[in-house]
Parts: sequence; structure tokens; C-alpha cells
Amino acid sequence: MEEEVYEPVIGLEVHCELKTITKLWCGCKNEFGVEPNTNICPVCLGLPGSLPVLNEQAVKFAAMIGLALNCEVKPSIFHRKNYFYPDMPKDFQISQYDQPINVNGFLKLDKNVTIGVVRAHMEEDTGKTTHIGSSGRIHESSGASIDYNRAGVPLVEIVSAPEIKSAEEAKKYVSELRAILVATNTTDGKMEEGSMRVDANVSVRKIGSIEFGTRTEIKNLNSLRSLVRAIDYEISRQINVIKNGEKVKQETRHWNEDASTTVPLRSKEEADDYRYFPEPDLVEVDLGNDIVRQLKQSLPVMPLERRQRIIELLKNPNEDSAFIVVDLDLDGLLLEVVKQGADAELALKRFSNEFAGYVEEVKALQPERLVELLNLEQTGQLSATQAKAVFAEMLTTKSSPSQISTGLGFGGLEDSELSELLKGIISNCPNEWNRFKDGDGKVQQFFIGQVMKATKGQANGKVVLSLLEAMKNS
Amino acid sequence: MDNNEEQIISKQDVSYVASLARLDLNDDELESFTVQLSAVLVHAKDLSSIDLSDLPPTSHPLALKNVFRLDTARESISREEVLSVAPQRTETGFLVPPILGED
Amino acid sequence: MQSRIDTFKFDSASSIASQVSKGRVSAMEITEQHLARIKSLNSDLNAFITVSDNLARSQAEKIDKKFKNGETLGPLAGVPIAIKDNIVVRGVETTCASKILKGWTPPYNATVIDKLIEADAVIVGKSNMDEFAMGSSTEHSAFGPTKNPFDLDRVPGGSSGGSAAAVAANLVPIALGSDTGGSIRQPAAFCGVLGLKPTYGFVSRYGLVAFASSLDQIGPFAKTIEDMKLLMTVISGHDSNDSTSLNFETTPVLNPSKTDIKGLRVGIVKEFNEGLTSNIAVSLKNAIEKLQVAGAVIEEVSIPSVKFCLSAYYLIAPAEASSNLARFDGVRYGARENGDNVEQMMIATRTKGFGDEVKRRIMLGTYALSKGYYDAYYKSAQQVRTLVIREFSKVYSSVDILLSPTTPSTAFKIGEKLDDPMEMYLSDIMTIPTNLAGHPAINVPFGSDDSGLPIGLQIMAPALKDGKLLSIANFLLSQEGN
Ligand SMILES: [Mg+2]
Ligand SMILES: [Zn+2]
Repeated sequence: MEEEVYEPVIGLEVHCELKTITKLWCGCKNEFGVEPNTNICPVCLGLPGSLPVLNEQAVKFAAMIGLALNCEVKPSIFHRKNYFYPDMPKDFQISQYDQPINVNGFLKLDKNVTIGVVRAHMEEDTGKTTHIGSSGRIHESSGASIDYNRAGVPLVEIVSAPEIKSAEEAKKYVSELRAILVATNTTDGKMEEGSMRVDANVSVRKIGSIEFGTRTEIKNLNSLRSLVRAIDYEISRQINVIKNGEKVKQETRHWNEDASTTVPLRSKEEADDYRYFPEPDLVEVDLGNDIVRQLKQSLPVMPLERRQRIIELLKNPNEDSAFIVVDLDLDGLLLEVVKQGADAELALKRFSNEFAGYVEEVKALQPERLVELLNLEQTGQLSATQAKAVFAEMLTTKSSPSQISTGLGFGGLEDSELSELLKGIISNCPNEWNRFKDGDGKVQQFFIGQVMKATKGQANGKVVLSLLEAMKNS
Repeated sequence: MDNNEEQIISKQDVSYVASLARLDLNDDELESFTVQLSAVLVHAKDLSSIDLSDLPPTSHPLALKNVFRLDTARESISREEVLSVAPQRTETGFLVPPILGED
Repeated sequence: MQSRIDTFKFDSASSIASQVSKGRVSAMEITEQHLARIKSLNSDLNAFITVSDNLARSQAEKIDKKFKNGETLGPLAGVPIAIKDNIVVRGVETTCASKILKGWTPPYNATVIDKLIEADAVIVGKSNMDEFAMGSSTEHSAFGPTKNPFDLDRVPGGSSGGSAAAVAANLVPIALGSDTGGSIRQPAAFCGVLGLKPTYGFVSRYGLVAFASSLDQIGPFAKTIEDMKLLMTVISGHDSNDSTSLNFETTPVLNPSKTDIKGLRVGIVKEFNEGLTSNIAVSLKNAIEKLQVAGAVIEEVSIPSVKFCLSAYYLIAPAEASSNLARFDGVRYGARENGDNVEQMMIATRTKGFGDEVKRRIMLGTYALSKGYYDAYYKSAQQVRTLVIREFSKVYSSVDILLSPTTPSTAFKIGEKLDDPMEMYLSDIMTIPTNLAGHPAINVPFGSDDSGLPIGLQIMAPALKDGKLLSIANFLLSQEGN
């Protein structure tokens, strides 16, 4: 298999918008989805004469991100990155270059895999361009309208080491990073709104080679799905290029979701001559040890550790469910209900599925109520279906699960009533009963169905089954 | 002109720099700018006669640190006031000719 | 030699403010009087790009109403002032003397403008300048050159030539300029008025259209020390909109009343004494004698690195300018040329909108920052800056102030240096070092040359000794012609 001779080397640059109240250099609101050009002022429009003043909260958020990613927080300065683009009001971007605020960190994907974080620096976002034209395709558009609401929104750009080995691992890295950022409450991590954006640097090399191959940078990765598909596409494209005896060109490529391909962005020969130089309108930033220590202490427990706390409670570890529960910030409640006696396995199952759709409502419930509900299901007093119905009621009424259950008529049937009912059904269906006695498992569903029909769904399937088993053996 | 030796910047350099700066030069301008920029850069060569090795670069005349603003919002300016002096506008935005992005 | 220096009865800003405050004359009368004078003389001098008569009259009206209501008026009550056209005034066209900004009315005020309005000054117009403050003669203006009031065939200096000429010709008692490499002091010297470049960070730059951000300072022009002090007191101070604005524990003293010249240690910079015209050398010698007589101690000092300042400046300033002027791209404000796509539109707009001198500096700066040249040019220049600062601070351990001519020559003829940029750049050789160091320096008119053109002397001092400069300038002024 020739394919296996090559291995990909992937590095990711993740831009995330910080959840500050105002922009990075001015007091305009940092808001998503408002009327175009309503959060603007001389500073974020780059009007002649205007000057930037740094938002202290943005710096603290940036440092917190660095600390959460195990970086060293250092004294830093800003540079100007010079290039012309109409959605960039000053035609330069204020960014950090050779003295970024955070360096030398790492991110743990799980117990065994760690990806280096080279740096996490501050910079400003650009405005947004809407192409005006019939097809919506860029080169056919007749013009563009620019909205500067997003111009000057604070960003942190997190640059990974080129240590990611597959598209799947890239996905895992972004998911983990997103979880960490959301936990620190510095960003909302919404890829679909563009508050978290990923560029991937991809190269391939022969397995065993120490040197890196020529890399391409892929832009426009708006979802985890695009990330995986684009990287996989780019890996095989590069392998094909090499196999055909050609060389991979260092360039920036754009992921086209509809066509499922990456295409080169128009490359200008001077495109990367950014003429960086220290921003003369801003001064050095040095938070100092005391503030950095305070920020570090203010950091919450990181998601990996939170998942670990859940997994430790389980007989059969389920990483995915634990990820969901932590991601929804339901893990604290989960640990509490388990502590109060709920079964950990069942609790995780319900928290990561049924409860996951009602995060705020579930958080508003008393843990004791959830414990009660889970225990009713665990002990077979409620079927899974019944438990779901009770849960749905709990979200709107203040009653206890057992009250709701009684109200719905669940568990109102005594075992003796059920036995009588079953005896009647058995006598009407001798063939099925014989098959059941012969060990035909499929027929048990038939009897449960008959009971449900007769009781209008109020019987507990588990109880019915145990009665059937008891009758078979008697 | 016999100052070719003194021309430490070539016409190609000037033309590259003009394209970086989004300026279009005709042949005459290219010629004269090359001569004039060379003259300044020749003068600037005297910097290489000083030993600068132990000197850190100064980008600020004052060594200020940590100048911040609080994260509190203030009113935006009027969209209409800004759009009314824009070269071209849409109802709510700044209108520009098509942007060439990808092919 | 045609001159526009006449016998117009000159009223200082201080005297106008005191008259208006006492109700002896109305702000409107003063305003009309000055607008009329501007109207009659500006066609010869071309000192103003825009005369803001509407704004001026409405301000005057407000001030007079305030007085009628018994309110106390501000320290510049009714004083007409000219504003260099690179400082934004809300609703008044601000062009920076460039075609590229033609028609742009800013939606905001510079901090200094807010302060002037608060002080009840009356803004009568936007003064002419070299395009984006790049030049030493005010010939590089898209609106034509300003003429020197002493000789209409000569330049007023630059880049704040309009402000200097307006004060010299008594169109206004005070004016604001900006100084990046000498743009206040050199025109002040050519026009025979006082011009101060304050300590970097003493006056807010918010609303000053940036040329070279780490060197730019707004500063005053006036004819009396009292007026300089008055204007500086109004415009200086911390501004939270400018990150490089100084935030003092205690505001530096601007009181120029009486500095004892006795015992004052005055350094004469050896390197600046080479190649002076004999007239200027004589003026400097006279000033030294007056100081000596009053008890100052004169010492010749050497600052070897000043020789390299011109080179460093002509790398740093263009580099910062190349970036600061990128925003003039035809997208958001100002002029726009047509283009099939955004990039062509930007190129056409910038190519047609900028004059040659601006293009020259943008290209020089772009080159100094570009790949492969940054270390040799930009970084070396920044290292020279460190050297200059160190040498100045060493010299200031043995002297209190430095004295030199402001310019190597008096006002030159219009067109004389236009074809040789390098020759033009040399006009700033004595003013540039203090911009690199961030120190204050002032031009004091002191004598004139054989053709009657003003000669200016420059006093330099360590950071925040702006007040000291005013008091020594006061002494020299009192000695001029004695
Ligand atoms: Mg970036
Ligand atoms: Zn803003």
C-alpha cells in the first residue's frame, strides 16, 4: 500500500473572539448580529487622527486563555501587520508578533496525547463584507458592502505546534480547545457564528522523515465537519501531487464545502511581505506576577479533569457522554445526584441524552428530585418511556416525580392486578405462550405489548417481564 | 547619469515597493523616484558606520507601560454622519467595487 | 521684496481674552475683525485652506451669550485661533492639504479642539501645510504654497507654514501646528514667531492625523510668551484617548515668570555650529553674550550622534507614515477613483490622490520595512534613536539647556529646493534630534539677516522642562535688539 508511506503533519491556528463588553481599542459594543455599522466610532473605523486604547479586560481574558493552555504569560507588545483589505479600516491589523502575551503551552487531548501550543496572542478582528451580486459567487459579484461592527473586536489566535497527526485528531484538538475556552468564560466558541474560526496548516512527508514537507494553509473551516473533510481532502491531494512527481506549492487554499475541494486563493507574490513593526500608538503590556497569579487562581477546573471525575464513577467508561455532560456544564449536577444515591451509569445516560436538551430547566430542578426520578427508573418502578414522560412533566410542574407518576397513572397497577391480566392474555393466546415457554425470546415483546394495550401504557415493561418469567417457571 | 554605483535601490525594487504601497508609477516617475530614493538611502548608509550592536531599538520616546481602558461601553457615532461622507454607500454600509478573492 | 508685515494694531491673545472677559469688546467684534483681515490678506499669503467663518461666528455668539448670562468665560475668551489642517474639527473640512481628503468633514473633534472650545477660543480656519505634514516649505500643498509674510517670494517654512504665516501677519494671535521633525520650529524661525514643540506625550495626539506617530506633537505658535503659556495651559494634559499621553502626578510648571539666568548652565552643541551662515552665527553669538552677561555659564558640548539623526529620521518617519497613510484607500472617506475591482480602485485613488513628496516617503518607508531590509534600515534607525537619547541624557547631566540656531539658513525662495528632496530634508537637521528624543524645544526669534528675514534660535531641554523653555525664551525675547 503506497498510501501508507506518507504521514500528514497538521498544525492549527484557531482565532476566537473574546467575550468582552466592548471592542479591543474603543468603547463600541462587541455584539453579534446587530444592524450593520451601528457599533462604530472614529477608532474602529480607523478615521484619520483616531488612536487605539487597549481594553484591560481583553488582556486579562487573553492571559486566562494562555494560563488555561499551560502557557507562560509574558510582557508583550503590539505590532502592525500591513496589508490592504477593504474590511480592515486602517489597512493594517494590530497584532502581536515577536513578543506575544502567551508562549510555550500545551493542550492534553487525553491521558496519552498532548499537543503543543506555540503561542496564543492578541489581535483585532476585521469588518464583514457582503458580496452584492446575483449568484453570490465572489468573482461574479457587482460589488460589496462593508459592515464594520466586527472591526476591532478582540481576538486571541492560538497556534498549535505541528504535532497533529490526523483529521480526527485535529477535530479532537479543536473540540477540546473549544471546551477549555468555554469553561474559562472568555469566549462563547460558536463556530457557526464565526466567534471561533480555524485555519489548518497541512503537509505530508514520508514516514520516518524528520523534515517537514511543504505546507498549505486551508481557510474557511466553519465547522468540525468541514475541518475533517478539508484536511482529509488536502492530505490525499498532496500525496497525489507528490506521487505524480510534482511539488506541493506553499500557498493558501480555500475549502469549498459544496464542491468538497480545496482551491488556491489568488496568490500575489508580495502577499506575505507584511512589514511588521512595533505599533507606535500603543505601549508595552506587562500584567505582572500578582495579577497573573490571581488570574490563574480564578481559572475553573478544566474539562479533561471534569470528565475524569465522571469516568471514575463508571464501570464502563463512556468518554463521549462525559464530554457532552461537561460541555453542557451539567457535570456538577451529575456528580451531586450520584453522591445522593443515583446510579452513575443511568445518570450519565440520561444527562447526556434526555436532559441534554433542557440544560437550563434541569439546572433549576432540585437534585433530590432528579435522584428520585433516576431511582424510580433504576428500580423498575418506572419504565424508560414512563421516566421520560415524568421528566417532561417535572420541567413544568413543581411536583415530585412520584406524584407526577401517580398522576399519570404510572405504577398504579399492583403486581396482583397485572398477574390477573396476564393470566387472561395467556389463556387467549396459547400458541404464543407455548413459544415463550420454549424459550422464543421474540414473543415476550408480544405479551408486553398486549399488557400495554390493555393498561393504556400504564404498566411497567420490566415488571411485566419478571411476572412472565415467574409464570413460566411455576 | 554616472551615479549608477550610488543607486543602491533598483528600478525593480522601486516598482515592487510601489505595488506594496498600492501606487502606480509611470516610467518617468519610476526613473526619478529611483534616483531620489537612492540619494536618501545613500545618506542613510552612514548608519552602518556606527557600532550599534549593544543598543536596543527604541520605538517609543517614553517608556510607558500598561495603559488600559475599562471595558465599559459608550455610544457609537451616527451611521448616517459617517456614511454621508463615504465615497459610495449602500443603505447600511460602505459600497466598494467587487473584491477579487478566489478564482 | 514684497512684504505683508504691516502696522496692524496687534492684540495678543491674553489681551483679547481679558477684554472679552470684562465685556469691553464682544467676541463677535473680535471675530469679525479677524475674519475681515484674513479675507483681505489670505489671497496673497494662502495661509488658510479653509476659513471656518460659520463655526467662528456661532462660537462667538455662544461666548457673548455666556457673558450676557453672567457666566465666567474661559481663559481664551473670544481669541481667534488658526488650526493646522491635519487636526480634525467636527463638521469642518479637514484635508491635510491633500487631494485624497478633499471634501472630508470629520464626525469628531480632536482632543485639543474640545479643549479650545471649552476655553472659549474661536476657531477661524484651517491653515495650510505640506501635504500630510511632509515637507519643510509648505510648497507640497495640494492647495498651493503659503507665502512668507516677510517676503512673498519666499517660503514660510513647513510643514506648519500656514499657521506660522498667519501668526506672523497678525491674521490670528495664536495658532496650532504639529511638529514631527521641526514642522513648528522651522516655520516659526522663517516667520519670526515663537513656536514650541512640547515634550512628547504632553499634548494629546487624538485627532491629529498621524504622520509619524512616535514623533508627532501638536504645539503652539504665538508672538508673546504670555500667549504661549496661555495656549499650552489649555491644550496640554493627560488624555485617556491617547495611550502615549503622559499622566503626571503633578502637572509640569508652565509658569515662565522669572527664571534666574544667573547660574544657568547653557550648552552649545558643537556639531550644530558647522556651516552656519554668518548672519545666523552672529545672532547665536549675540544671544550667548546676553546670557553670559546675565550670569549664565556657557559650555560647548558634543553630541556626536546628532550627525546620524537626519538619516535615522528619514527612515523612521517614512516607515511609520507608510503604515499610517495606508488607510487612505478610497473605501470609507475622501476621494475615490474608479476601478473594476477594489484593488484597482485603491491603486487609482492613491496614485491620483497623493502628491509626489508623499509618494516618495511612503515608498521610502515601505522599503525600509520590507522583507530583507528591516534590520539594515528600520531597526538600525531605532538603535540610533537609543544612542541619541543616551547622549542627550549624558549632556543634560552637565548643562540645563542647549542653545542652537533653529535652521541652517533663513527662509529660502519658493521653488529653490523643490527638485532636490535631500537638500530640502537638510533644513531640519537641527530640529530633528529632539523629536527622536521626545524632548521639548522652542524657536525664539532673535535678530534678522541682511535681507531683513527673521533668524530663529532653538532652545532645547530635557523632557517636561517645557516651562523652563518658556522662561528662557522670555529672557531672550526681552534682550532681542537691545
Ligand atoms: Mg492572525
Ligand atoms: Zn469603535
